[in-house]
Amino acid sequence: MRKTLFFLIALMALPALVYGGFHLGMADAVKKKVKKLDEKVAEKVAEKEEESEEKAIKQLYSTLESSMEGEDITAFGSCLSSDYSHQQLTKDDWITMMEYLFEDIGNIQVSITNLKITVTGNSATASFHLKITTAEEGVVQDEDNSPNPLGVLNYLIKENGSWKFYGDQTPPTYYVYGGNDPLTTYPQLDHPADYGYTLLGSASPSETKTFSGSYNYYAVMVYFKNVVKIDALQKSDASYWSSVSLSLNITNEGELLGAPDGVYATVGTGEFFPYTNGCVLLTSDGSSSIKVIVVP
Amino acid sequence: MRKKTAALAVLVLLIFPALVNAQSIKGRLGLGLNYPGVSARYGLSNKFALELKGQFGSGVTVFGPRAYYYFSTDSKVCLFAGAELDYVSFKGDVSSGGGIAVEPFLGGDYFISKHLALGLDIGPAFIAISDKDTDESVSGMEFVANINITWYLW
Repeated sequence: MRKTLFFLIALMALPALVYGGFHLGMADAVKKKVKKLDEKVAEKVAEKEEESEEKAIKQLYSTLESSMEGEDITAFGSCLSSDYSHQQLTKDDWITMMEYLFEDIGNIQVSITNLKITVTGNSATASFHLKITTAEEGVVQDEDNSPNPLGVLNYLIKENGSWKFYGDQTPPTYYVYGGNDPLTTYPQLDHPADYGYTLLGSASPSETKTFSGSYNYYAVMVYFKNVVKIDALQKSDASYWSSVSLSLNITNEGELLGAPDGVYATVGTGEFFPYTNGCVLLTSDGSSSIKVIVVP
Repeated sequence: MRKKTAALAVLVLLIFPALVNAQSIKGRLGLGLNYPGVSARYGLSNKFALELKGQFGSGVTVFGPRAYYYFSTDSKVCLFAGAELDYVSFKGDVSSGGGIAVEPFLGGDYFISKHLALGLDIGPAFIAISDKDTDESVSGMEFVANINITWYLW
């Protein structure tokens, strides 16, 4: 009898050893379950908070739509953080532009669809499809917007419990892309990354910098209110570009050709409206890098 | 004087175990310390005993009855089988609430003296707990070992 009981006890102990050992006392076993439940509850709470934040952000985009359609500049302004900054655009720039639009353009219809939101603490990014039509011009915009230098309404911040558009908050910057097909039309010149171009890097407009990568074309881009003063563009063989394939919003274009001489071309207008992005497109001519020599 | 008496009592407990057995548990009340809690056990007959047990951990309270069936009580080692049903309350880092725990167990008491027994039992415990603020719950089996020391008053 006693041997049988000892055998049963041993039998009971065996799976416990395999399973991961005994808890000393029921309270200790319960503690393990509580820890597991803590993890589940924390996950659930986080999910609920995220859902709640997403709902609040969707409401912000809805307010943006209605403020534009209703030409309500106060409501529009309430959607933007007072610290809004995106490629040197400010909240005041937006207000000025929207006042101009509301005065001159009638029956604006705005549709923001396919809204995808990523919340990280008190900041968020969003991508969406934006369609804007007006009575005078019909469809003026019908494209996907994602967080990038052009994504003026894709960066958000939670301020005093409310979500606001915040901009990407980048300091003054110019960008260099490399690609194998020429950029020819407006949307391509705005979105080189969407047309097979690779971002080789970025720099402050006061910084001369070499960007490496073997491509058929290089594009030097500035967005919105950024400007960069380019004295010369140098190839990997130390020679200088002597011609530009295509340019947009550039003054004194000839001054960036040839060796540096302290006289520069300005890429970008430094204005928000009308169209302001600046671009210089160059054929690489076999160069494996481009050195952008700027005048600070 | 008291210290000497206490020391003598401990000595008696240590020296006499080989000479004692449980004799009978019928009608006897034992107060016990277990890890980590307290208990009170009463012998309903020579074979059956009931116990109320409470355990207290960090943020966890477990309280409930245990039933014992003794296979024999005629030696200093008395093997038993039994079952335990507990009410559980807890407060974790983000969760809080209650639940139940059920455990069949096998084990034994080792009577050091007629009045003092060391006990050990093991068994698989089914534990189910739920958070009171959400609908989240957790359940499953854990293996539990209980150790205790019981002092029989008479």
